[in-house]
Amino acid sequence: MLASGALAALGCHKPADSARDISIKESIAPQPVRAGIEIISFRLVNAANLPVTGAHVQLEGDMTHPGMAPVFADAIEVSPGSYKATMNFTMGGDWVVLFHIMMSNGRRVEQQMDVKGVASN
Amino acid sequence: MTKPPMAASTTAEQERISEEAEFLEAQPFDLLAVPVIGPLLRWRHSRTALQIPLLAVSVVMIIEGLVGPTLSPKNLATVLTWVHFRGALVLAILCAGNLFCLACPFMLARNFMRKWIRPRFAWPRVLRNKWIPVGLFAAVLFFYELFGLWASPWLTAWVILGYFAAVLVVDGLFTHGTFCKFICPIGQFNFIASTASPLEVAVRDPEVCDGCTTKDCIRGRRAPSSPLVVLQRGCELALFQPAKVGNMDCTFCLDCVHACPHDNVGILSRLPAGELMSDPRRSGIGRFSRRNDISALAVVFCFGALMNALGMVSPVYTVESWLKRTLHLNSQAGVLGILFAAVIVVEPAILLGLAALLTRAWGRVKSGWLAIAVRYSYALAPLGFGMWLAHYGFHFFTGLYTIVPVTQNAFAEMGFPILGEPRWTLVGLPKTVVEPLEFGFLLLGLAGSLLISWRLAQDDSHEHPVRAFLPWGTLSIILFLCCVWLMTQPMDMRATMLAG
Repeated sequence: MLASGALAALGCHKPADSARDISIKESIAPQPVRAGIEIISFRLVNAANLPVTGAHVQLEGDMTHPGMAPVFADAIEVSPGSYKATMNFTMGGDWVVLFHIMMSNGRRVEQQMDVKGVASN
Repeated sequence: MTKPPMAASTTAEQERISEEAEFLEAQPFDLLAVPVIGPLLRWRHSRTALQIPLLAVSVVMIIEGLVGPTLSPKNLATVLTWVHFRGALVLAILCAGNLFCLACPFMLARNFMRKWIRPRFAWPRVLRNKWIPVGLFAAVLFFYELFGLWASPWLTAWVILGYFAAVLVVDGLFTHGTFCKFICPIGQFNFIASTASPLEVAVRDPEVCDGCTTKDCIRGRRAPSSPLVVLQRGCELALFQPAKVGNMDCTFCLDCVHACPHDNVGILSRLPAGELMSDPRRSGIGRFSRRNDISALAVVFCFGALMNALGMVSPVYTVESWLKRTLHLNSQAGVLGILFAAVIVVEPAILLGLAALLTRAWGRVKSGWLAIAVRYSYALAPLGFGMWLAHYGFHFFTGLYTIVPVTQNAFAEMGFPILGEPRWTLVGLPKTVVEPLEFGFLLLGLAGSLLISWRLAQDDSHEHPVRAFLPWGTLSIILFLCCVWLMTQPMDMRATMLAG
């Protein structure tokens, strides 16, 4: 039973959900990233490299270690296709930031950014 | 090395012996006599009934780990394994006993396999010790850090699968409880930790055993007409109840309870860690003082607790960077290997060796330094357990409710959002509540270690017990302070910076 379950699951190791036609170019400041408030700026573009405007983006920060509290932040659009969010990294370590994007046409897209080695204060 | 206790020479010593005799003679609490719980545990299929849910959970964890979310905090395999399972395991050992081995899902799979496959070989005599599991225990800690198992549902699932495979291969080839006794690193962790448990599977009335001729508790209950047919298995780990002392090697499988024709085996209360305060000959084990392998297990258990927690705080990265620069090392495995060797081999060798030499010189104990180090190494087990409790308890309590959104998410991902939208903000108890618990666990461990060292010193050096105790008391306090320092460091929550 175990073996068949495992074999059935082999090859099903799926990556995080993401949309190939939407890409995200992100930056985080200040550097090096430390526990506390950080500004995450990102630009959303479509397959034609045109800015994706009017999206509602919520950021979710998770530690790679399970069992820790996630942090959330809403991004604001500062110029067409460019967004900014303030995120509070509550402790040092490896973080993963998920971008939950709801586009103006209602389509939902999820992207991911690794923030490794956030230094503790 | 062990000397018989000297006759009571002082009033204080007489009082102590008298108090202990009273404690030992007092009717202990027997879990099997408790309504509902007792009859449930005495039911012949009780273990299987406890194992089935855990096997089901294991299968879910494997599948979720292989095909579920890749982000560790959102996957049942990683959340259950690294937050809930570890915490529940140590808390159960603290409050009762080795309950995980009782409900071990791996043994259910093995028992199922053995209905068709009969093992033919005896485990080689030269390997009938704890050296392999001690090495495996250290290896588990090492690979946990090296591969960041906590962050990978996929690897976590494969660890669980690998465990099942190892159990089936070893116990498919070798007779009795070979995997449990001579291989299983989780089992060894449970065995050494449960020396501090308040409950023990033990004989109710030794006089009943004196008159027993069948020894069913170890041989198993046989069919009267055909002695080769075993109706109820006896202890697979070679623990003969009348001579069994403590929880070492006891999986709480309750085979002895079911096999005893006199209903003379119970789950009895006892003085936690009391079994480490003396050195009797133990069935299936011998004397602790002559078992360097079990002593090594106690040492890895204690210093491994420090190493496992060290990986979570920022100073470790400074040390690792320094090692890389100094030794011109670019290999993560190399840096981690040096750190592990330093913390769980070199450091204990120096500290225990020094303490043993001082006890020998100051306390005028006639044994050699190695024999003293082995004897007193067991005193570190409660402190190590305190550290494991503080560490795993922290994750358990601060992440207690994370199982809720992760389960909601698992159902939603399968297309059955019957539990509603995942509430990711549901996490656990606040740190302000959990931190005092952590220090409480550490203090409890320190108290146990100091008490055991003192009792051993009293037995070893009647003239200078304080002098014999001082090195070990000091060592326990130093290790306790290291644990406190670790717990007060800002957490880096296992960053993988050491990879460079």
